[in-house]
Amino acid sequence: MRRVVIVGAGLIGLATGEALLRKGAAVELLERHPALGEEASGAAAGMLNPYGDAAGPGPLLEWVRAGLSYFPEAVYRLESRTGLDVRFRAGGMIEPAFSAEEEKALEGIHRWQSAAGIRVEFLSPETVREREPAVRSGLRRALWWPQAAQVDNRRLLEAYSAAFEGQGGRLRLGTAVEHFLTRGNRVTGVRTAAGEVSADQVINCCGAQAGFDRGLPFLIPTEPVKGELLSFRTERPLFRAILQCGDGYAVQRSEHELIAGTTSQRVGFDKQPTEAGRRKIFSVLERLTDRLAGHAPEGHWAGLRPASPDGLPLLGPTPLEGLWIAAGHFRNGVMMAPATGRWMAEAVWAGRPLNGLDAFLPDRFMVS
Amino acid sequence: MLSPVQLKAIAKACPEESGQLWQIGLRQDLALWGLSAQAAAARQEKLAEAGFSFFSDERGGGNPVGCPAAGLTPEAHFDPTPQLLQMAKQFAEAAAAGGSLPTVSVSACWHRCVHPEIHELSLVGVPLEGGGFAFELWAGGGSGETPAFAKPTGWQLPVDKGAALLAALLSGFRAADAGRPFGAWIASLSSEQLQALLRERVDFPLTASEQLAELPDSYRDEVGVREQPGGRFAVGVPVWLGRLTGKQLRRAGELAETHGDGSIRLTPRQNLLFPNIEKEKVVPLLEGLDGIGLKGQAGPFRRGFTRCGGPEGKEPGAWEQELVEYLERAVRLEEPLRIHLCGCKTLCPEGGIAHLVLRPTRIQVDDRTLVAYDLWAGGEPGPERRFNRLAMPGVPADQVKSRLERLLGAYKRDHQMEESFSDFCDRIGESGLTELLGALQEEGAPEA
Repeated sequence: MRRVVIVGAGLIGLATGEALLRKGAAVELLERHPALGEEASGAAAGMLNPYGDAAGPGPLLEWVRAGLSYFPEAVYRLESRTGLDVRFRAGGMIEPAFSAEEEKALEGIHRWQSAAGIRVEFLSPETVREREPAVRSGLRRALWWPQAAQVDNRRLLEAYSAAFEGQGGRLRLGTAVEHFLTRGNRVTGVRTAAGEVSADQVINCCGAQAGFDRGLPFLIPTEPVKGELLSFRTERPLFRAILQCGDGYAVQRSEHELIAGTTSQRVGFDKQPTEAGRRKIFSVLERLTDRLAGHAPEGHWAGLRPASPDGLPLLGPTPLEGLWIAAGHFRNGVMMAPATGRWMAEAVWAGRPLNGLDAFLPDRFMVS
Repeated sequence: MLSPVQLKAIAKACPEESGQLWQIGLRQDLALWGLSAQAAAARQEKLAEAGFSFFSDERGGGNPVGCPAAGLTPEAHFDPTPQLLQMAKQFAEAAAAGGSLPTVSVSACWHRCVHPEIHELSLVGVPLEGGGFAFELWAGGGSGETPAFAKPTGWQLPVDKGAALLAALLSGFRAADAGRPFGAWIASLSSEQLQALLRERVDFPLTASEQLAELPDSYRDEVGVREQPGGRFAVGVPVWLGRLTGKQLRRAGELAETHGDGSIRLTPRQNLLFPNIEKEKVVPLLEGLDGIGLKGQAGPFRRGFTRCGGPEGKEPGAWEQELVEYLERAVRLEEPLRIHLCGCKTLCPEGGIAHLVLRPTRIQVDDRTLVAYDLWAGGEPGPERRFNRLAMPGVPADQVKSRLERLLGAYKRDHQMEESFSDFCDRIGESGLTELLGALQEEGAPEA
């Protein structure tokens, strides 16, 4: 039986582990934090956006389009196996334009996305009012993405973790990996504070921390991009769809919980929420609705999205035989977890990179 | 279920010389394309006189989808027609009142051709261990861009209480004012919450269900000749793309009257079912149907191909015809295979569960805009249910047949004993799918 060690039990690591177990591998997942969801997978808002952050046609757009299509199957499988409800909901996404300038920007988005085959349409102010009575009046038009969906990412973590352990995977929380073990040009396992763990294959799913082993003969260039979020208690749901407003957003996660977020800061591994971040999120919310005026948030936190220099993830083998990377998903980690898990499991199982994912091969950055 | 009067009315609404086509939808409804607003209004009036209802939203009509073999076949547990009729009336009233309505299916036989697994609410007829039957209640399924499978709630109810249950759930949904569609609302209720809600609103007992194993998926299309319990026969014929000319419909109605009880049933796989045919009239009926182009038998491709009846479904079916003829010649498949061509933006359930799905799109090649298809693969209904996934985006229309030939040829050649197409897709994985559905050098530039 092939022994695989995965470093990092975020959604990408768990989904990859779960998919490898289904292939028959023996999988051990090592997570440095004592609990799940301490990094990007737990901090996210759970938006499943049909165009990711793609600014135009290209590999990123194709990747997220395919990735989103894996979600329904994964949700059904996880919920059936674990009995957990991950609150996967297809409510669509709306971005209103309140000024002529914003409307023009939306027209540009509509143009390229329609041509690229994404379902996106304009809604009149009346239609938005009807669908989302809480949205502030005075908007000119809004864009509507019916394919957008949302999931409770924390519950998804729980479900993946339960499915992983339910299938015989070993999850070791509070186990930090110090470095990879090598013999010649081959990885043989990892070194933790508790000792060595040997493996035939090792997958680095450490997101923004993927470059933690400075002793490797190549660079893994993921870096953290900080995002801050607020949560509010709502008496009843404020929004049906995800609401987007520039680089901010609001997601009604459950009947009584609304999540709002914004900001994108490259400030290293600082996860401290800030007053400036809080103000910025409030300014987004105030543009969207007046129903939260005077409401104090119940939670305020920050997450570190794992970014890569070219905005594309790193998926595939490294120059070190037996060491793989699945990291750098930026804002698409939750959405891409089911697909990435399956793709990575297949590649690791076959021992070669996957067809069609050439644009994401890690060696594009890895100059030894 | 179409009565002789209704058959005459729909044949009349589509004159032979008009070239217009009726299309059987995947929700057992009928659509007539290509009419002016004026002509449509005139026909609507005539059809309403024959007892047809009309709907402008996506839910009021075609609801509930009901067991077409109700009371006909040995596999049928019981005949749920009385419940279906009551529920259809409830839907018409609820649709008129507005608001979100669920998609509902009612099945009463082992085959479950109405696909309860993809409806927001399903009443699934089951035999009871101690004798008799019940409806198992499934909930939470849905179609569209982010489909979901319905799950058994763990509760069952008497077979004469389906309509009462639907009324209770609709009123519970309205009272909850949940701010989300019915499917999402009911899926969010725990088994205990659902029980509590129903206990307040119904006067019959809900009992814990036994949850019987499901039969493996097959055609579920009611095609073929089957003996009914009373000695008569039910004859199902495939209808290519679910499309019928006025002439075909008129003749089909005449044949039903000559050889059967005059009625015809529509199936969720876009086919026709002729019930109550005397043994000696089965062959003449099949010959008569053959005479109007409705052949009793079809190979896996023709039999398993469905075409959305949505607004774009009115396009001529020449491309589909050519595709299927090509695949029939090139692959000679023997195993059941569901191929679905989406014709509209609102994906019907088949778009999520068919083995292969073709979703139309447009691609840019140099400075040309070409018709293309996103190819989705690996779905399957039934006990091994799973949703398909995007396997290859933007395949130019003229290259779809050669790419499908490669994939299906590989399946025919390499599949293992009793390995379904979806299991095969899972086994070869994304890498294999990409390889088999990807562009080849020799294909050259796509045609404009």
